[in-house]
Amino acid sequence: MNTLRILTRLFTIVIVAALSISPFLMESRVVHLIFLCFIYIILAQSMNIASIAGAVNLGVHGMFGLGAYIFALALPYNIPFPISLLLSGFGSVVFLLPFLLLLKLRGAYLAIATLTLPLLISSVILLMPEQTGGARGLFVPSVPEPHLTSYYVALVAVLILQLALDRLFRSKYKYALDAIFDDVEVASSLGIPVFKYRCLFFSISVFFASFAGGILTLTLRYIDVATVFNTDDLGIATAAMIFGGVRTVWGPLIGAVLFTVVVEQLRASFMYIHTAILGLLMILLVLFMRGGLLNTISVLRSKIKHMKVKT
Amino acid sequence: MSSVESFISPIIVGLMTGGIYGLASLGLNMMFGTLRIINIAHGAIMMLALYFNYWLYTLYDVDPLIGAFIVSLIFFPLGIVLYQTLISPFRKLRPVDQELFPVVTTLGLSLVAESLALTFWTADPRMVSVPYLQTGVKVAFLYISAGRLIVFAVAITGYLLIYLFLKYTYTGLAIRAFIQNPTATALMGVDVKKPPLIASGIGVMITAFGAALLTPLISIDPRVGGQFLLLTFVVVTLGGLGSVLGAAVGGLLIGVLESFTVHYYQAMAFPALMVVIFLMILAIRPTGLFGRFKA
Repeated sequence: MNTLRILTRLFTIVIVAALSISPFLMESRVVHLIFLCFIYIILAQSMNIASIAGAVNLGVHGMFGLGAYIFALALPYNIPFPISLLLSGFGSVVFLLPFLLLLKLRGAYLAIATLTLPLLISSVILLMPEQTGGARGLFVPSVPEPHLTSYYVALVAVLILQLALDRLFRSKYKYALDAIFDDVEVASSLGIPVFKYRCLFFSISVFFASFAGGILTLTLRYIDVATVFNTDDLGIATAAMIFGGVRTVWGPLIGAVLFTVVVEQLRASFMYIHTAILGLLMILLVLFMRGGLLNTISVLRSKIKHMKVKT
Repeated sequence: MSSVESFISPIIVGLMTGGIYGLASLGLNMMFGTLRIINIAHGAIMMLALYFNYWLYTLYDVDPLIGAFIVSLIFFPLGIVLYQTLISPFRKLRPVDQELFPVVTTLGLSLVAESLALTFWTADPRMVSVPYLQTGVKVAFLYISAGRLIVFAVAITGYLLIYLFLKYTYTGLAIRAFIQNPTATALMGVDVKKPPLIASGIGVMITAFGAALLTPLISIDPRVGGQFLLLTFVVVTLGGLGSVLGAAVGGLLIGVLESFTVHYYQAMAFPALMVVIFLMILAIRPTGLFGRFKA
């Protein structure tokens, strides 16, 4: 088992090294695809982080858009872009602070409440045309080497996310989170501060979704409400998370990579019906990989083990 | 127009709009309110029903009001198939996943429907114009089109019928029991396979019926369902899941809110105002206006 861990570590280091030099070796089209994978990994993990604490976040595309707007609005004030990026994350958390009260809601009520947040954010942006450009959209000032910079920022964000989740899953807090997920009432009766955990994890979820919005805006010249508040993003992130495996460390990452590549490929080869194929794929993958890719693998593995024990 | 009249007229207009919203949420009240399925395909089902009724009218000259009945008959089996294929496989999962998984499958379905509609029927908006539905009827001091009045009346009747169905029939009782506790329901000797299937069939049927009735009132394009999707979820949740009265009141409330926003401020502020009021109500009453059960 120990050698396996060392091997996986080595493998991870090799992959990270390869990813960090790839912008200099590969075509820009491929590099952009990898960059998009990073963005969707962050979005899928953002949803995953909320659901680790038993709270469904169906508003990630709204937080994504909010982050994009904060970033685009902060840049003209001569704020260096790394600070603007952090601002897009923290700013969203601050903006959405009052809505943390909603985490007291249960089940479907919470799901619908989060689903309405993007509409609220986008219509507030539309209502303030002097500050946000309203329906006309916003021009984004450029930073030096936008594609290279955004690529590395996204890579670092993904690395931090994965390492932090890996740590979390090995820590004692995982037990408390599992308890919250299994049964809120039992968990709170055992003295687990359910609301505190949910607030913390939801805020982290908001932070990363908005941060992803900021990173994407780095590469854009122009944003408007229709492009950055896109329900398709929610769909891809949710499908990626579920296909890979909810509440796992690596599942959402694998799912996001797969879905991003497939979506981009479909978009390139089928002009009109690519969304139909994507929809069909979502249905089939989620139906037949119910527990997620990683859980399916672990179920298979335990079955093999049982067979060995029997014989 | 006196000051009283200028205050009352947005209320009446709002109630009429509320009737449309109520009719649009009628089926969702069953699918989401009662069955707790976050049915993202609700908008797509509405869109398909609207197109169906449109084609019945343009190709076969069927009156939209009669067409609505034909369309709803076609959609009943569709509801059963929808539940059986996209939702029931997840019924055994844990609560949070039970909500999350159907979101993806129904979203997938709506992507398929929307994209196919765009390909075959193009993005051009279509209108049905039925003269007798557009004649004005005088209500107090306002003229309101007959179509809107019919929609309002049907919406109220529809909610009443659903309420009676859930409250006083055996199947309705079984559906409510199934939602509260499937295991206990099965132990009482109720066949737990049937109630959700029937409820889903009825849910999709009345979604289609409600949408089809709206054919003469709104312009139809492949994205028309998306305009209603979030609004209908707000209407059903606002009233309290499982509460039929709540959804009816929620629809009227949202309608009046919209007409007041348009009358006194600007139409663009309506979505933001709606969400803020919705979330504030949820913050004060976590189970909606009339909701009693925990979600």
